[in-house]
Amino acid sequence: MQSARMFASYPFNFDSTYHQAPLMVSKLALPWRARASSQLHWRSWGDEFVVYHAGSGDTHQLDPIAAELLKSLAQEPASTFELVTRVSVSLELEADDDLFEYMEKVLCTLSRLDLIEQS
Amino acid sequence: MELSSLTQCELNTQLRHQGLRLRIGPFIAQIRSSIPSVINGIQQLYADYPIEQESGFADFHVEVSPPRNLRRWFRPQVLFLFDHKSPFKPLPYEQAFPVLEWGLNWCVSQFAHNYLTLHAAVVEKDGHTVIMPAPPGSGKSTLCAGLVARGWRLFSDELVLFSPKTGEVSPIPRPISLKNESIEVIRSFAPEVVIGRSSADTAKGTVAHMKAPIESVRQAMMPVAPTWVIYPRFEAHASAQLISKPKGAAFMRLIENSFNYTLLGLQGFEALTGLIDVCDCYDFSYGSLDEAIAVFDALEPPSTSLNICN
Repeated sequence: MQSARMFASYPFNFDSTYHQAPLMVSKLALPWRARASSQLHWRSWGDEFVVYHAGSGDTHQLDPIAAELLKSLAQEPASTFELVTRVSVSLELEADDDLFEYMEKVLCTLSRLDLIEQS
Repeated sequence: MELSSLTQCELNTQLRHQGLRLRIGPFIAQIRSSIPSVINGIQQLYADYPIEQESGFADFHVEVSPPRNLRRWFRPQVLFLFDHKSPFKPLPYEQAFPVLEWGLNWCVSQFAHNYLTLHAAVVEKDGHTVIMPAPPGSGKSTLCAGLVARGWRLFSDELVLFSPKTGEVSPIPRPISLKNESIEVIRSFAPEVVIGRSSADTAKGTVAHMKAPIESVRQAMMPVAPTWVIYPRFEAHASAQLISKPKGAAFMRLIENSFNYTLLGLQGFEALTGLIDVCDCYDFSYGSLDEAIAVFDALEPPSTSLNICN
């Protein structure tokens, strides 16, 4: 995990990090994708987001980071690295270790909810 | 034609034989029973309700009657029948009228899927409605009874009928169910209201029903758009406190209070988010009915700006 945090502090240069922790790099580089994104229906009130998945019938409440992440993946698959960049830019957040760590947790949760998957 | 225009003999005959067709808001319930407490309860608490002609459509065909076994005589019980079948286990004979009320609640929650139905009280004043979802024991029905006794129109103390098509809440005014201490609280608060006979030892304790005001019954076909969603909680000796509730949190809690959100699928999601879109949402704690009613009377309708994102 230490290695993963170092990556988030720099521009994503896989050449410089590949030899340090190849397994961690390859996992973080694998793309995530939203599952059945066409079945997601959204509503928001300020910084509160709810999403309904028509396939499962489940309804979820998401914070702005989780919502942005899921919407981004619904448009185009991305690796964890790429997602951190996308979210930090769109929400004007610093792409630091805290964001990286938080987004990993969000990805884990969304995966557990069968909203996303990693190929 | 109102039920009160029937003679005792006519009422008894209809209830014991072909069924009494009672209009309750958007529904017609055909009710049969020969149990005196049910007949008396209907006569007292549904006196102002329209009755429909003897032959015709009814949404629900229900009956409250003793079972056809030894429990008809030995430690007597009653059954609620829907289309001649019993969806529930029998209950003590003394609880016959509450059984009818609970059974009618069940009918609406199980079958009225042209509405998004919620477990909540609803009252209205000056064209603005308050939806009060709350678990049992939170003081919802007591607060509802207090508001109604002070001039708010009763839509329901138990059921919200929200139309996905029109975005309006339809009234289904029926006797307000009071439990335990709240029976005497309301008797003291509003001595002029009519409260029916108490039934003891129910699963909810002692239960009695407050008659709906005649104005509420006469406006039962007048739906209104929702204005506020307020989650009440009674706290003894607490000062009334109204705290703004984030819409996302209010929405997720309303799902928990819905009977058929899941069944309606995407239509349910769109209906419920639409309801939240137009309402201001609050948590409300109170320890005094007078204070609570003052807070409700002072509520300001929300602004019309919306924040919707697909």
